[in-house]
Amino acid sequence: MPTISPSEIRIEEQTHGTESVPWLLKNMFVSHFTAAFLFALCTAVVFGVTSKNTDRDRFLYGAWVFGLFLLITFGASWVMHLLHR
Amino acid sequence: MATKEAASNAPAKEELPVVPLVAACLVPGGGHFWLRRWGRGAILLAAVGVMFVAGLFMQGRFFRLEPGNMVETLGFLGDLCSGVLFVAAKLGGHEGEVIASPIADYGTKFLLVAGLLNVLCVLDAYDIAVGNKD
Repeated sequence: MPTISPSEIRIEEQTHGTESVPWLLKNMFVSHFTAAFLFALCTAVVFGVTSKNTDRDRFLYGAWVFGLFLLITFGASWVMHLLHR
Repeated sequence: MATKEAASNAPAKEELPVVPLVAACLVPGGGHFWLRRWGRGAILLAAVGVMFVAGLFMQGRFFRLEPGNMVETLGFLGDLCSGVLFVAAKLGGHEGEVIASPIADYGTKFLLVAGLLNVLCVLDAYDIAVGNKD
């Protein structure tokens, strides 16, 4: 009887329902982290550009927002992982 | 007499900067382009555009205008804020079917947030046009 490792099950869960997505995009965006990274980047850029008055402040604020996005993403991921165990 | 003096000392009513606002509503960063903030306009256009296009590629769906469904209607308004990007995607035949996949779900959020970010761009263009910001 063949055994399925937990890692294989996770891969199946991640790709479930993505049959109609083109191969390149499936591989680009299949990771939640990739999508969250792109989301954080675009949002932080707009927040930075529209929020402050000088270029230096815009850059610093954008970097701060981007860092917070990623930090919260990692934090929430660990919380869900630990709750799911 | 006092009333006339008060009226003459009052600051002139600020005119609504219609053209930059319309440009900003139609194209992300369009208001900044109109106000000759080329660099910032280009950055905003790139950021909002990338998010919108990524949402399309991820097969996100647009919300629908359903008066009986507040969530769908608000989502539709958010999508609509993308301006010409939304119109172009609709004219391009992007149907946005409901797909049960995390990627498509991310795509839907990308499309919505692209519209909401464009609202920030519009407000920033307004601030620049009336002199609140440089």
